Amino acid sequence: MNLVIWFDVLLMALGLLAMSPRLWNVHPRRRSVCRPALGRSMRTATTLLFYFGLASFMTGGIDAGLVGWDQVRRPRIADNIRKNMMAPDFCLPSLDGDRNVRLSDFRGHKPVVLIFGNFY
Amino acid sequence: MIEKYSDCVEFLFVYTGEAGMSPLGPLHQLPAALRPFAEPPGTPRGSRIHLASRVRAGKEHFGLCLLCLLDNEQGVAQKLYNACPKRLLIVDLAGRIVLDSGHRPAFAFPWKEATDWLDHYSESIDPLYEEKRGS
Repeated sequence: MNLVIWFDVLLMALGLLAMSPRLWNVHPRRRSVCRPALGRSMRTATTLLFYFGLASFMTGGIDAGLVGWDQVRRPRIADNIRKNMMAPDFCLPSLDGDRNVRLSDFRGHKPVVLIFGNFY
Repeated sequence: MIEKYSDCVEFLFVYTGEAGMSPLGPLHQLPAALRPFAEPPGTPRGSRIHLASRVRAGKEHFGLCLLCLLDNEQGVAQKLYNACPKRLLIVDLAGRIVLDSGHRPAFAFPWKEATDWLDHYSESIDPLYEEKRGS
């Protein structure tokens, strides 16, 4: 999961925890007697924190803001490449000649250093 | 690296899709060395204008003596390996991936790990490999 989403969840959890009556009052059944553990401004802040976290989680607003609209809109391709897995095979035309080169052709003959890239 | 290990390892360079020279990405933002091989400014992304000839010219210019493959228009290899912007992998004799850089710029490739693996491999097939290369 995206780190930013975790941040939103953390915000919500903190807000929820702080909004809990057990933190507001030392004894939940005797609010009028006990002094609130958190002041009014803190309660307001934590309530806002909760709703801010909830809203950003629901809309992906913070995610969009931090990661960038472009990346959020762009469909993310799952990275299925893992060490020790069989290298996915492909067959592509070589630049130097007219032949097609298949990655699996090298299997059993030579290891392959595979470099993906372009000039820009 | 290519010169040192090309006897025992195959180097494959897969030329993947270009970012494209949009009006927002003018030519002068490219490093000077790459400008002669870039497509004309304003060219739509993925148009592959003179791609093969440009890549060939760049390969000769930089003296890259490795097998170069052109990814197709759909970017099959790039998608298969999620290789945007760049990626380095080493595939062993059995066809397994033994080193993966992840998708990152070339300057951040784990060259040290790659060299270590190639050293280890070349010595495993021929203990005198280093000496022979030296002589």
